[in-house]
Amino acid sequence: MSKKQTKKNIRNVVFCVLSFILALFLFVNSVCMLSVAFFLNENAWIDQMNSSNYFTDKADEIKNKLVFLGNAGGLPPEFFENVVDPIQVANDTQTYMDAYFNGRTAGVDGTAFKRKFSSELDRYITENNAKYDDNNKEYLVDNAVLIYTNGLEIPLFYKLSELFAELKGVMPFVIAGLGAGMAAIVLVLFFCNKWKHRTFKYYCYSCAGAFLSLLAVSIYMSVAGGLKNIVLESRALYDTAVSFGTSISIALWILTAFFLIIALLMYVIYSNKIRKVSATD
Amino acid sequence: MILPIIFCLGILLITFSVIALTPDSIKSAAGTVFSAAEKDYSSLYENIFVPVNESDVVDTVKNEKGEPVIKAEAVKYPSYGVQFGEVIIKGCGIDCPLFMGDGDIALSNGAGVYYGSFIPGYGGTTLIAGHNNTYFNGLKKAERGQEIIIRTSYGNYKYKIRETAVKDALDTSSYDLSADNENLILYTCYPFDEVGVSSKRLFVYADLIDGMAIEKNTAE
Repeated sequence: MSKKQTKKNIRNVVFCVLSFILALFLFVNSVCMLSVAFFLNENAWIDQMNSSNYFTDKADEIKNKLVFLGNAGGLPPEFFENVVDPIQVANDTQTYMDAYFNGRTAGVDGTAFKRKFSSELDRYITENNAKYDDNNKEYLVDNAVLIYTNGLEIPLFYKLSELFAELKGVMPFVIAGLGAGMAAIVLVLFFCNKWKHRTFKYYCYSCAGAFLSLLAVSIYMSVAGGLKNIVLESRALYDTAVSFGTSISIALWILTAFFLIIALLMYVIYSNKIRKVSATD
Repeated sequence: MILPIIFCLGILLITFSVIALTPDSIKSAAGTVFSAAEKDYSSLYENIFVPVNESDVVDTVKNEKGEPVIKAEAVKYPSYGVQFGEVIIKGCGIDCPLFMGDGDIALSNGAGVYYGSFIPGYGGTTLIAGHNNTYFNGLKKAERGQEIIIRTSYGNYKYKIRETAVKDALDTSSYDLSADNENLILYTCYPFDEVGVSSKRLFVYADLIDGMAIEKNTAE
């Protein structure tokens, strides 16, 4: 093999490795951006909760649990009709999530609920001239508050809190670093190739590689049904998680389609350029 | 165009390697978050209770003493949350469905057998809970000598109230789940007809006076 041919082969291998790294960076960056847009984005959580009717469902769920408590505590189901307010649930959830996304691990604040429950209870006792013992009444209120605060808590959030805060801080640098790396590879491929059609061939390889990888993940997510098999005690939270999973799945398919389009575009440019080169020859 | 496929395989291989390097504690935690099938959130319950009349013949065999006992195979053992019978105390105006387990759904629809106790016929303690404001409100009228009937699909059991007592909910001497004689304990919150949750419970103790035992050797 001539020296020139060997040099050409080495250059091809280097460009192939560079385009693989570019494809890997595109894939990792896509995953990072999805994480920032969904998991690490408090607004995305709240949006999903709104779109899946979480606050109303959660209020109903808590109300049903309170009805069970009422069976033991001498209160009829009608008493609980107006005790749990979806707006209050939304406010307390927002405060609770604000704390977690900022790395704190405070529980749900049940003060407003306690106030409302106590005043409704006093009103019920007065209107119905009901018998009660102060200690038993207080125990009932404490139990009701516990049901409310436990009902609003999201499983594992207290463990994820620090992780959220750390990732939120690190992720912009990771994305920027990957972006800089990708820009460097794009420039190297562009300026180190004398024939520009080859540059677009490598770009096409990278985008196609990222497209196929994301396609595999998208297909896996869709076949697995998103988050349908997640185990959550709360039906309201389950519906939100499924909705979240569906949104992530859709975002993945959009990204997959995006890379397919870019890969095809690069291929078209490559074909045009190689045709021009052939015509020149 | 083989290169993009190789790239894709390479990326997926790296992704799996990263997942494989994830600490086992995180992987096992993730494993508990997902199950093989969707969770069932239905609040409906299964009902396997088919009343048997006094005259109906249940499959029986003789025990070692030569007494007839219900064949174990003839008993469909209820799983948690299933209605398998009913409790009747005429003197207290109680007539309600009986469930296996004393969870929210059971106690919202009737009375529930504590899962760690026996169902009638197995020769042990049957511990049954109910809410004092709903199905067990009538227990406030419970008196010594009153008859309690538990009807199941495999037979009817009659008990006579021996005593009633108000005890603390955490007082474990209130019941003996390892007793080797067929006995029944009903309990509910105390006091009755008051707003509030207390730590007191009313216990109603009763002894079996009629009802066929279930074959023991193969019984669940």
